[in-house]
Amino acid sequence: MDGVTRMRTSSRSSGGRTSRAARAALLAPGLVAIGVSFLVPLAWLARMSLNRTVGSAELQSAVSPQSYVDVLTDEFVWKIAWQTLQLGVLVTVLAIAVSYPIALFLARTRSRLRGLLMALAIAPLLTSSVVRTFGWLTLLSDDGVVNSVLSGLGVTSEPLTLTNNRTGVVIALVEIMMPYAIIAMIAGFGRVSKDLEDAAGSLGAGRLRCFLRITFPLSLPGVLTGALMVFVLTISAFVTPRLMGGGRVFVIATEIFDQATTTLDWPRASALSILLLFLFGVFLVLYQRLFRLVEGR
Amino acid sequence: MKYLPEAIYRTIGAVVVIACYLFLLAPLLVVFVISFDAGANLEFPPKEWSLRWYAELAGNSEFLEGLRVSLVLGLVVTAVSLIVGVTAALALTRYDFTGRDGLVGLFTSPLLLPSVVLGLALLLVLGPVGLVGTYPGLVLAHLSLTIPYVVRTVMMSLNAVDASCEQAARTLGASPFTTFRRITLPLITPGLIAGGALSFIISFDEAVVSLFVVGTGRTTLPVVVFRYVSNNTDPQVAALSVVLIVFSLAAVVLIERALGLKRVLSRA
Amino acid sequence: MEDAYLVLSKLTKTYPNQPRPAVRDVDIDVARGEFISLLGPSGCGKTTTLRMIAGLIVPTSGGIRVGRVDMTNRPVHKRDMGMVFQSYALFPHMSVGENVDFGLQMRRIPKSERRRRVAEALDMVHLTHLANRRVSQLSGGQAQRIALARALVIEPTVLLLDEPLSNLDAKLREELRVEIRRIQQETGITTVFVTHDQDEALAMSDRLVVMSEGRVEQVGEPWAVYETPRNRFVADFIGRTNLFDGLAVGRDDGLLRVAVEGLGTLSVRTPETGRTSVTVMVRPHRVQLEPVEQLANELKGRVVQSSYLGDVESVVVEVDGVRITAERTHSGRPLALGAEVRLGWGDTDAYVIPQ
Ligand SMILES: Nc1ncnc2c1ncn2[C@@H]1O[C@H](COP(=O)(O)OP(=O)(O)OP(=O)(O)O)[C@@H](O)[C@H]1O
Ligand SMILES: [Mg+2]
Repeated sequence: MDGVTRMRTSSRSSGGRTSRAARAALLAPGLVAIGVSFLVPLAWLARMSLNRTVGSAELQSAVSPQSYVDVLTDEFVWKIAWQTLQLGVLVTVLAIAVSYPIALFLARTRSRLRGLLMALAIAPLLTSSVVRTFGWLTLLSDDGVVNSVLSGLGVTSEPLTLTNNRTGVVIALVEIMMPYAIIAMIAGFGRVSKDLEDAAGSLGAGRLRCFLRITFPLSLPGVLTGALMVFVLTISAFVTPRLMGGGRVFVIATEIFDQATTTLDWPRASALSILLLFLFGVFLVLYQRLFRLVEGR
Repeated sequence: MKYLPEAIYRTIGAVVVIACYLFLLAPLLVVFVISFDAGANLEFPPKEWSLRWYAELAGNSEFLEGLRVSLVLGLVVTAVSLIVGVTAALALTRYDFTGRDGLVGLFTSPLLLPSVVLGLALLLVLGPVGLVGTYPGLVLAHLSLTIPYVVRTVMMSLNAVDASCEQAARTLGASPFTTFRRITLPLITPGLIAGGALSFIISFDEAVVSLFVVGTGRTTLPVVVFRYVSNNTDPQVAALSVVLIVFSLAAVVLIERALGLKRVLSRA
Repeated sequence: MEDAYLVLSKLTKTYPNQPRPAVRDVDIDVARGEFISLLGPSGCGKTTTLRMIAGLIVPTSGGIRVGRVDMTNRPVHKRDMGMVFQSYALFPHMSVGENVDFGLQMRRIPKSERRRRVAEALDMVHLTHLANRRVSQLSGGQAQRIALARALVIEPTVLLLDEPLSNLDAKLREELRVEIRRIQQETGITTVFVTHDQDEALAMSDRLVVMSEGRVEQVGEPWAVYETPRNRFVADFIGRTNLFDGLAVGRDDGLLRVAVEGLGTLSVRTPETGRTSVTVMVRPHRVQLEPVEQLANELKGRVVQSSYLGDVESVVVEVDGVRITAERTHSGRPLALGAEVRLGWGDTDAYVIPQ
């Protein structure tokens, strides 16, 4: 038995130390990349919001709440914030309304084409929002597809103004948000099953009652997730409000862009950004409360 | 109402779903059709068909330069995010340690950040160091957009690999590195393809962050298009859009084949 | 043990953030060529022990030795141990042949020899014709045989098997039991087999290690563990059993007299234990119903439960509030519930558990 007594006793640290080193080596590139491309800029943004602008565009290093005070006492900012929220709510409601049928269909269909139809519904996500907005411009402009069809049919004599205003922005944003809403809703539709509806049907519920009493309540968590997704993406959308609005529709995102690239008032742009993030946070918390309420039933 | 025949409900349902699909796909379809219009003023349906705008596209140096920048950028960003994503995902799935969940959150958190805010933040740091409108600056900017998706996709693939396969390889005499090269890597290849395609297309399509950080330097294609569309709309942009859509379609097919579009794109 | 080949000494594993060790002070000596089974209820630490031997888990303390070589701190890939996993763990991106070849490639063995050894290994499990199959096209039984061939082809010092049969249906399981044992005896490889199926362990092993809550409860040949369990846990865990707690009230002529509430005084032939409070074990198949001969212990009771299993009938008889399980092998029609029966066993059919 002397071989046994001579055996060294293992300690956890020997294995532990090498694995810790390996882990650190594996994490390093990612942490550097995320740090440099995300954390540092974000920290710098927060710092910048405390600086001051003097004169037309001269940056002065400081630690002052001046830019926040400026932003929060500016009536124009309140106006666009309010408009942004309105836009968010309107687009969210409409996008959910037009996405719900597709999501429900995809969640329940047993068609062989399901895979293709699913891909068709979310593939637009991978095309640039610039391209899709351009598509809406050609559809909705004064001499665009919609107006020429309407006047061709004699429905309208004057072209409808559907671009360079909020109407166009809303229509295009609704469409652009649809894939997000569809994905989120399908994921949340886990509990909605055809079997449940069949069961309700067998218990004598009509189609409509089936939907209102069984399907819709069960799909609510999915709807909520989708709605949050669409809402936060809408209130921070930039490309579509700018292009469809033709420079006449102002939201927080366009204001941040203008302040940063035209006015060159970086503290103000930073303060606006922080406020937008704050808004995000508020809605995330609200959403979690609401979600728990709905899930908890 | 309750006694309407089943067929009527089915028809109403089908019509609603088809209408919603039409709305969703309308802009892409229109762009596609208009790009073959021989005329110059966006008529629908076009009176005459031609490939004229595609030919003009090939002679537009601004668009071509944008395309070149976007392609180079997309490839570099994809390569870097794959390396970074695979190593990070390995650490996050193969080791158990305190703070692991926090790190997963950190790597995926840029998904939640509005692009305008991210764009501004990047402009503020890239500006003073002179990286605005340069390849290094653009690569850095795009990394924060692509890394979250790549980390998530690769983690998904790694989690699907049966750990006992790796352990079996080890007991058969394979070192940790050989095990990764011979067992793990081949098994996560679909995830790498999906993650790579996604990363490329995100970078290739990205407009908002790029708008902030291109300045007057190197300009990506979506930014060129954005600026062009801000001033005028003509079928040449439609033709260009079709080119962009084709790239997207290629990415869609790759991702769908490799892992499934829905799994890869859901954010939750 | 003089010729111990695989030696575990004071092997202990405490997982991070766990209050109690999953494996505690395990000492096992395995002789060269021996087939030993680790048996115990779920969570008792069998897998943990096996994985420490393989090197997949680093022990908190204790040591592992193979022959004269200390393995404790050696990395997995330098241990030369073959392991078969419960989930087979075949590499899905390689063919059957490539799977078996993998370990040989790692050892940089020349191609011609590799080809020969892969063919031999496949032949051993009778699956030569599947060499070019994809792994996904194998049945469960085939996959497990390939996993076995893959582990054996490298001619490991020790073969480790973690519940290799638990994903198979009953019939296949018995077939593979025989096959694994045949191959083990042909190759003479030292084998550690983890299972929670006691039939499997009893049928295959040279010796059993019964574990509970991270500790070794008993080590011994299957018959010895079954007939003379060292403690109550082992008696209860291995096979079905009747256990009666009682008081030793006297002793004459090698017979111990034990008073058990409800059953009166039982006679057990046993060496001196020196204790007054004892547990008597009687296996159900030793209990005779309606005995024809005179027995040392005879009782009367009423049938309260009867399960007809085909080859045997398991009967529960209640004697004065004490339930006794008996097995009848010559049954025709099962006993009726409530029937009055006589039952009994000889003084050598019972056993006094030492602890
Ligand atoms: N990675 C781990 N971290 C923490 N505890 C663990 C870990 N693996 C196992 N355990 C615990 O250690 C104990 C022993 O586990 P082990 O897997 O060795 O049991 P087992 O005997 O193989 O059981 P089974 O028959 O169910 O396979 C169990 O209580 C288990 O919960
Ligand atoms: Mg186990």
